Amino acid sequence: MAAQVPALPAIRLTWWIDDARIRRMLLRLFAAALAVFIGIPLLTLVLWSFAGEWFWPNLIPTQWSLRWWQEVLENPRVTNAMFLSFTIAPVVTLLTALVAIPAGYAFARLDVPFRRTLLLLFLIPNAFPRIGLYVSLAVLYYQIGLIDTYWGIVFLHMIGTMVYMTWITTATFRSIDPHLEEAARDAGASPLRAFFSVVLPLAMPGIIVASLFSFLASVDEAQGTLIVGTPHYITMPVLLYTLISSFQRPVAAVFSVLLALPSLLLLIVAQRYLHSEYVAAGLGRV
Amino acid sequence: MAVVTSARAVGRPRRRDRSRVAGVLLVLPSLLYLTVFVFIPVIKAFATSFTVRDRDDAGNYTYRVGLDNYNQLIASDTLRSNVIFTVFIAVASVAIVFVIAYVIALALRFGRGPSARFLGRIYIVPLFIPSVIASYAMITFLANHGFVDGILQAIGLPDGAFPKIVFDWKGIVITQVWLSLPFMTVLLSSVLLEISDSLIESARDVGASSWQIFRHIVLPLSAPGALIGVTFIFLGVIGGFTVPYLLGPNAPQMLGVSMVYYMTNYFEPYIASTQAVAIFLLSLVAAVYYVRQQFKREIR
Repeated sequence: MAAQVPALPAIRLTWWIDDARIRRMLLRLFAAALAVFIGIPLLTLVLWSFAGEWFWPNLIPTQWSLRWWQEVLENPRVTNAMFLSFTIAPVVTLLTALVAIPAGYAFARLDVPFRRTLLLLFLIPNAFPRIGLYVSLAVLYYQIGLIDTYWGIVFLHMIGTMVYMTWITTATFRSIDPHLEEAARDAGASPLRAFFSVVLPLAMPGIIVASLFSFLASVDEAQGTLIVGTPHYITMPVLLYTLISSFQRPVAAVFSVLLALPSLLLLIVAQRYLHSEYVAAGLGRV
Repeated sequence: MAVVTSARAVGRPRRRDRSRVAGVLLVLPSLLYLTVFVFIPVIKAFATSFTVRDRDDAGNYTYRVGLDNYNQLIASDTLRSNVIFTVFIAVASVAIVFVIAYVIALALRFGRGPSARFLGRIYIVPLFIPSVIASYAMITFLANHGFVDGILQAIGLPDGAFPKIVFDWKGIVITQVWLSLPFMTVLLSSVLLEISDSLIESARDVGASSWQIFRHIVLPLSAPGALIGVTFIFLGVIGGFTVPYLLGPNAPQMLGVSMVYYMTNYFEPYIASTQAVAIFLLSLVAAVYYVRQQFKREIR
């Protein structure tokens, strides 16, 4: 047995390229190329945000400065956009949770009539290309007066977050042993009490992860907000569209770094908990 | 789990009835939401795309049902080339993402050592970058007189030798690949994990070559997950706005961009809706496949 253990990985490693040296070199080269492709574009943004003076073709700024940061943070358009983004996101997350958690519980546990059809309907929002959906929604918003309103944006953000949270909570509730709830019921607890004191605490990790992602999805949503929110409701990513299009390179760079910070923070915190299931449930923010 | 529930339900019919009522009540709010904000808009978009607005001599508008919007979509050179451009971008992006993500997933599954661990940390990063920021990063990176151009200059290439990538189809494809890599890689890794080592070892034992192992074991076994990823990314790229808006050429435009222009700049909801329906139809096969696969997973 002891002799077999080191032999096993050796076999499974070598099926693709026989020569270990070449294999290691290729892997190293590939990892380096990918790091450049993914990392350097982001790094140039950070450099631009601290650039006092940067004339092409210098590869790094010739002068460093914090003045763009000061300019961005003192700009009322920026602070207004930040305020708006961070007042929309919690409302979206809360409303989504209120609507999606009960649905997730019902799909996981209860005997919902037409369950198959309903589950199918819940997949539809992801099956339609988003921009088509948003433009269709904007046409409706014009008619019912939700265009260029706070609630119009909230309800638009909820399309993505709701489907996502319903799926995550369905999976979470399904993974909790139903006997626990049955036992609480048999001991005399009401269905509500059994849910709130037994099931909900166990489901909390899944719900928290789903809420965090909903919050970020709302903060980062750009294209739909641009369509239904202009000209009065300019969130952070929508403002970034304007900054990029007006070629204010360092200002847009500072703002990009600022906007990317919450997500990157989550990346660091959540990487351990990042279930492939959660990602597969449709986080592809394309 | 299902067995336990139904056995109890037979014993206590009243609890089962209550559970049905509770199930309906709990699903109802979200269903109502989806109806108002997803299903009705989509149905209305279909209806609008078949509505034609005519103006009579007195200047009054009359409405009728007709295919005029679709005729315009097909007859106009601009709109037609937009449709072709959109499909081309989506297919190209998905193909490139698939190949790169497959190599990453293979390296993560079968590679060992620090390089593989490093790869596992770095590939996930774009998932956490909003597409507006990714687009902007790519502009500073790939633009003429951008970062890569600067490096080429430093190693002695003449000014102007750098091809036009930003504000061209290449820029859209490269950025979409950048953004979609993590999602595709996660899906492929999870299917590759399900391929057992012993299967590959036994193939080796009977003398299979690397190519044969890949062609006859690894590739077929990873097909289901790969297809879900491919359809999802196809849907994302074909219905994308941010990336082509910031990095694309003025003409031809992707449908997402042209649709928004028709909606917000030209106030033409009829043509905009028709383009929305065109996007729905173009992605119909991918959408049906995606729903079916996800549905199977849910039911299981």
